[in-house]
Amino acid sequence: MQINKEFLKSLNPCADRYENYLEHNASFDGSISDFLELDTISYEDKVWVAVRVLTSNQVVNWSVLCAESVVHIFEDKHPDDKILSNCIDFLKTVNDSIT
Amino acid sequence: MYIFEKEYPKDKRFSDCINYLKTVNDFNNLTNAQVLEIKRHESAVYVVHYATTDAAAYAAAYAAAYAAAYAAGSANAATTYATYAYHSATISARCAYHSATISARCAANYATLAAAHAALSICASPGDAAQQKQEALNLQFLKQVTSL
Repeated sequence: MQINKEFLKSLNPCADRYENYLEHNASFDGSISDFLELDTISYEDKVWVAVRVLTSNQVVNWSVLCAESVVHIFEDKHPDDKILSNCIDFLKTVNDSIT
Repeated sequence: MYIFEKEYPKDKRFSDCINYLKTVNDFNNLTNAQVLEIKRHESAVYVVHYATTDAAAYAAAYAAAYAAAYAAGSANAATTYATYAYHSATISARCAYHSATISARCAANYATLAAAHAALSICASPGDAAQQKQEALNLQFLKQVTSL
């Protein structure tokens, strides 16, 4: 899938975010991986686009990786509560079946 | 709340949760016992949430559960967001358990929420550096999954 101004327009972005894209990257035409490398696109905008172009499995995989990286915050506060870790583990085991 | 209890007149878990929250005078200084009790109500309401298919009742239970989540985590923003991540991930897992197409979409949506809340739990930690570090890490994860 190619990310370019026509494709992004089709996603109905907010006008100001789309204008920001056109201001800095009007001629960009690349993959989602290339898009994620653009310095002039904010973190929020990259995530906004990514979750609209990735498959369900990819989004779940991504969320699991993100959640795993911060689960220690929860478990530092609640060391005996493994429900979040268990849930993440469960998500990982079922992800293959939810395409 | 009446929307839910009209559908399920014998189920008082929802009103029990709300009534308990109303007894708490200071959410900024919760005792451990109060946090545990709120979490217990929250879990009970989420069971209702999961089991409910009626859209209005579902929304009502959802609202109650989030009210409890706010209350339980009000003394610590990072914990609040971590709790959200947990709930989003839990709902996602619940949706994923069912294999219908709509559930897959639901799972993806809630998984996204889980990721967002997980990131927010870092954002709630002191310092912009931690937030930027986590955002960079999340983008690395995105690149990782897109390359698979």
